[in-house]
Amino acid sequence: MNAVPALSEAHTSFRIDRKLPALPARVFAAWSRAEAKQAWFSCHDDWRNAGYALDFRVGGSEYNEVRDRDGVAHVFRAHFLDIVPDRRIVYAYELLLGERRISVSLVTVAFQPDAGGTLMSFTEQVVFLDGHADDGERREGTEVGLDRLAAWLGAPPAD
Amino acid sequence: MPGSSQARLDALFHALSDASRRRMIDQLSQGPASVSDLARPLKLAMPSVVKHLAVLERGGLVNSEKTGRVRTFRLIPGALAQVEAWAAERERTWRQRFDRLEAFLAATGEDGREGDA
Repeated sequence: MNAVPALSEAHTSFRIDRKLPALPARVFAAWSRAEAKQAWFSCHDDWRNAGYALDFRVGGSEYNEVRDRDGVAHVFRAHFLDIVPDRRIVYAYELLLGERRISVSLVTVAFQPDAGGTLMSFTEQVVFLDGHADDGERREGTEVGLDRLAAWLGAPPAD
Repeated sequence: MPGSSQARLDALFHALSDASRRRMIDQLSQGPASVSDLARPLKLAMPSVVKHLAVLERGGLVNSEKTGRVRTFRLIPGALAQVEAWAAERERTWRQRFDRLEAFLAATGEDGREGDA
């Protein structure tokens, strides 16, 4: 991988569509109630929870802090911008790794009733800051793949 | 670049799927080049080269800049692949969360009360 400049902004976006086995009201509740949100939001069972707060209203915020095995703080801080009960949530969030702000995102989550369940679409527009990215060994899989691709790109073209 | 990471990867791999385009990447890895610079060793007509370059641009592998009448193409260094890697990792984190959300919803039932999830 090439070195990343000290100061940089890299924009991208992605979308995930998911069919869920519950009506929109229950899916919405899983996003809007602290207890339910905590049940599914945390990704690392072995990381220590260091603080959680949810003030779910337009203008309100959400805060989640975990410590990884090295004791580094991973902070998620969101600000709710638009809420339509059972239909839509729009929020901005930042991720901090220790003292560094690694990314800022705008997220739109939309819920559509679908055959007794819910079609949830999640769109994240993100700016990665200063070449920092989400920490963790899970990145390795992607990086190994990209290194292979980079090696292949560097190889002489096949005839 | 909008769209899912899957769509971006599709564009990337499509860009890489052609021998002429891979030769262009190889040439651009030596330094920036104009359309005619790139056409010469390939013995391809200019319109064909322009089309290949458009595919490479869509794949996120090259960008270009016009100075006077000459458009110069250059390989985007690892930066783009790195952004793709970050986005893919972020996307994977959310997919894992949504797996848990799905399990949580299944475990808590449809009667509105929360179970033992």
